[in-house]
Amino acid sequence: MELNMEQKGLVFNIQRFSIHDGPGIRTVVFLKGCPLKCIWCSNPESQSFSPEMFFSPVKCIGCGKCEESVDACPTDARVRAGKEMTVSEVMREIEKDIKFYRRSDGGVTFSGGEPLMQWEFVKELAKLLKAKGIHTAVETTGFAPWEVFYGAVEDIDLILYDLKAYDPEIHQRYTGADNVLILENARKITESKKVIFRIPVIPGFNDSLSSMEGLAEFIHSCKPDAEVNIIPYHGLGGSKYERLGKNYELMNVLPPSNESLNKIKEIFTSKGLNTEIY
Amino acid sequence: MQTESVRHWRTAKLNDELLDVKPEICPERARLVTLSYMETEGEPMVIRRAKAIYKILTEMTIFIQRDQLIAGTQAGKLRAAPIFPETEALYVEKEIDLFEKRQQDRLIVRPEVKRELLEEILPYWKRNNTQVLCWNAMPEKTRKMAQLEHQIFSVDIHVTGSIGHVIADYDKVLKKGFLELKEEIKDKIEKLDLTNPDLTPKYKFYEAELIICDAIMAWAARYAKEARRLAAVEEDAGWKKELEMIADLCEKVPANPARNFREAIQSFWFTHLVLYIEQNGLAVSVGRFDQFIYPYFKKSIDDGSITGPEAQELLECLWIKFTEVMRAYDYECAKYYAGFSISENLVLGGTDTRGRDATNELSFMCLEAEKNTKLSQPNLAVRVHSNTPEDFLMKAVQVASTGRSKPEFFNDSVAIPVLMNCGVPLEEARDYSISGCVEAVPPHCNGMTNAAMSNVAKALELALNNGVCKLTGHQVGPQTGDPRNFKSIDDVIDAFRIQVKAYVKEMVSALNVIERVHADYYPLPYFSLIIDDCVERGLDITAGGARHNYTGPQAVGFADVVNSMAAMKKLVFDEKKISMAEIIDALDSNFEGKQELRQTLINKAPKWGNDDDYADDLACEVTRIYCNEVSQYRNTRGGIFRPGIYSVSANVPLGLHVAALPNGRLSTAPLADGIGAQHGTDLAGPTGVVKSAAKLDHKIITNGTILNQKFTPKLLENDIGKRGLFDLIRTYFDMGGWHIQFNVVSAETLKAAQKNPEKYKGLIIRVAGYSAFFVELDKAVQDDIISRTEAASF
Repeated sequence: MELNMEQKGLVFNIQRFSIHDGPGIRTVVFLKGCPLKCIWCSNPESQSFSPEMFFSPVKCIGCGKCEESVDACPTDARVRAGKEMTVSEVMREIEKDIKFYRRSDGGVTFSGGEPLMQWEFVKELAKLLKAKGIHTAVETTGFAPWEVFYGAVEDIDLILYDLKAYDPEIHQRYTGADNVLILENARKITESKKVIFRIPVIPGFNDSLSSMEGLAEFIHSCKPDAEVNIIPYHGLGGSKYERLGKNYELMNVLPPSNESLNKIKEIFTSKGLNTEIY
Repeated sequence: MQTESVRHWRTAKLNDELLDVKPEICPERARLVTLSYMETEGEPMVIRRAKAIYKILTEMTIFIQRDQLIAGTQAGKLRAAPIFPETEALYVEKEIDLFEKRQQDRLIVRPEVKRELLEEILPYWKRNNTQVLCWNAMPEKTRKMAQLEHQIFSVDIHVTGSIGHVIADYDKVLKKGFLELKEEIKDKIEKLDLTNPDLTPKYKFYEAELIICDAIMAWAARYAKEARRLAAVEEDAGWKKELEMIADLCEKVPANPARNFREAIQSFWFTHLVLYIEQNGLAVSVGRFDQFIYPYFKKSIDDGSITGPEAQELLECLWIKFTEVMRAYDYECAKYYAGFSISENLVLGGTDTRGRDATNELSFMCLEAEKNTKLSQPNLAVRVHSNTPEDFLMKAVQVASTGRSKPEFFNDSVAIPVLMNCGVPLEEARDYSISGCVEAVPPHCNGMTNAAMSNVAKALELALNNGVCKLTGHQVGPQTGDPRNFKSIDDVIDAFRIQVKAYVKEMVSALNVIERVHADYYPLPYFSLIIDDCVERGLDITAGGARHNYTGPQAVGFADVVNSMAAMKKLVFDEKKISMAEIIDALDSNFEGKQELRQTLINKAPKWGNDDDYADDLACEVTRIYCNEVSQYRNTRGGIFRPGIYSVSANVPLGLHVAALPNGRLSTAPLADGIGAQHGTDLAGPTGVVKSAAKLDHKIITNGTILNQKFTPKLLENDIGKRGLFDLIRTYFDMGGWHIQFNVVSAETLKAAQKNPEKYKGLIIRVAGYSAFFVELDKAVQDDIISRTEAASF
């Protein structure tokens, strides 16, 4: 097996003890850069393909150290969002929790951003993890040419496939991208890989029952007993927009009620889909 | 196997009634022990002790709470605190007006109670209490160190209280009953060769034991009579029948062997409660309840004399009784052991003496009882080993996820070899329980496992100031040199080691004096009756009669020391960005005007609890230093000193004695808790904390560690979160960790509870090693808990 341990990727976070992104205890590698621009995105620092800067004015003591270098900021008022890491550097972080993966049937999940945008990096890591017997998952929106997509996930065990909307017009309006390719790839990938569909529920944007009905019908047509995770909107990303100096349009949106989530769940389960609210 | 019960009306009623009590001081015990002491002047101490207990048990007010199926209360009122003038006289007098006003563990003192205590009871004890006796018996240098204004160690717990931290042989009482125990003692007396000078003192010891047997049987008989009296006039047919049942039980046990589940539970409770009437030491623990009760449970279920739901109901009555036990701590101790914590540790699961899994149906029912009651006691422990049934551990995790922060989890594969290294045979080591918070003890043990709280953070302060206390300017430690001249981290570590060595020596000296005072003035004939091998040896437990004897002082401020060292190593000696002189100057001014330096120390150096070897290697070194110093000493009872690293809630009051440190901690701020990360620095999440913690050599920390992980309820409300917790425990234990507990509560809830305590009376919080009611905690302790880092990575 030939591996390029020096292959570089742009990583904005490596989060250990993640338990909501695939089975067991996992380490999530967040990759920076995304072709979509979902207006509800909870990781605004994941969107751009170049490193950015977080700034928290409350932490700043005005020492001026950041003029030399951002890394010299003593209070972490300024921190980099995103840094280049090699395959071997990322592996070092991943291997720290290997005992937890073994105990819990967990592993590693690539998320983002859109991991497919850095498919060579993902592919190298996936090959290496497969050789070490570590379970892998990728959370993707599938927005890439089929060859790129399939090539990247060849060694990946589980696809967490995000579907934001079935209606092409709604999809275009809130994510800035067309969903034809996304739906096409979704259909194809279910034929060869284990897939869990993930549906974000953003009140007032994509949560109309007819829209959910469309998604449920589509998923059912891909795989009649597919697994579906319903991901309720949360406002936790709001403060990050502020620290990036960006505007957050959903500032006043509240998380969906249990009642509405249960209604949505019912739409999916009534189609025979194995559905959980996360 | 798993039984799910609906919360019984009785459980709900008794639980609420207990929470509604405003605790007060009950003077009865103090009155009776004083009268008895006056009557017995001139008699041998052990006889005076036994006669005092006899007087208390035969004359104290007894009452039976309506709908409670178990008889026996500690004081004249429900959840009232008795007074033990033998050890408490000085502070009770001094703090008599403070009890009602203090921030922590408030107790009502009625005017007539205050008058009786001050005028009739306490004057008798003015010079005749352990507080006076201990300080008088200490070498002057030791006493000065133990009484420093800014303490390096606190030995007060056994100066103002009895020994506690033992687990009685309940099994023996259940099997034999006190009538048979009495016969065995008579037999011993008959066989005593009183011409043998070594045996002479044993005669009075055995005579005391006979008095004790009579006392507890007479006490139970009083309950039988009271239950009969109440039954005769009761109009409600159901309660009348139950009163008759209680009368029947109290007529049989604990005098006779228990024959069924109800008798076993009643016998156990009488036996347990008298331990808290004889003396006021905390953490008299229950031990392996699901093991010694199981045969009686099985028999009663099999012969149909009790149904599953009836057995569950009775267990829940017992669970509520555990929280009735009270103690009127002095204010300082109340801060150290916050929340009226008495720490009656009850252990479930684990292996049997042959190494097989010992989990049974009763183990599950005990978890269910815990779920259905929501009180601070018992302090619940689950022993985990490689064959622990998955469904049992999962049920324990589910209970731990409900915001009460218990059960706690313990690793058999650490405790058993640790105890064997302490000289305990394999089979007894496998039969270990937890005494109090996290201390593994074999059966028949006087562990003194919470002997002292010591302040390693203060030792570092002294190492960085040539042995001079920064808060007073007094030379309290050895001169270890001007820290400005330290050339490497090894110089810092050496100075720290010398400071630790010096204070540990004084602490050991103080503790050995205290142990002797207890043996001479406060023997415990009742403890000695039911903890082997005291009767066999004819030797009181305080004098070394138990089979196993330890003394366990704790280190507090662990992460503060480690992070301070990591910051100096990194920024001063490796990267040379800051000089020692700059750091020392900043510490001298409590970082006044040194914000940039302080922030650099906080943010630009490795931190303990992040799975970073840079800091973790230093943590292992600090562990070795403390443990090696403590482990070399022997106590007065023929046993060894065992080091522990945990704080309970002492990290807050001990913090008040420590000046600024190089981890950026400001002067007098709280110290870090147990072996956990310093607040707000565990950025790698729970696996990072757990991996760091597992790097410590838990086998040399023989008195135990506390790892307290806080989670938000949101994380644990579904099965995914619980499964994550389950796997976290399993992996920590695979890696050799000893103890982990989970604090599942949101900061918002806690803040709301601070503002509206009446709305959150039942909110339980784990203050380090045990549970308490949150609203009964000191505000500083509450603030400390709130600020502890939430596991934010989910």
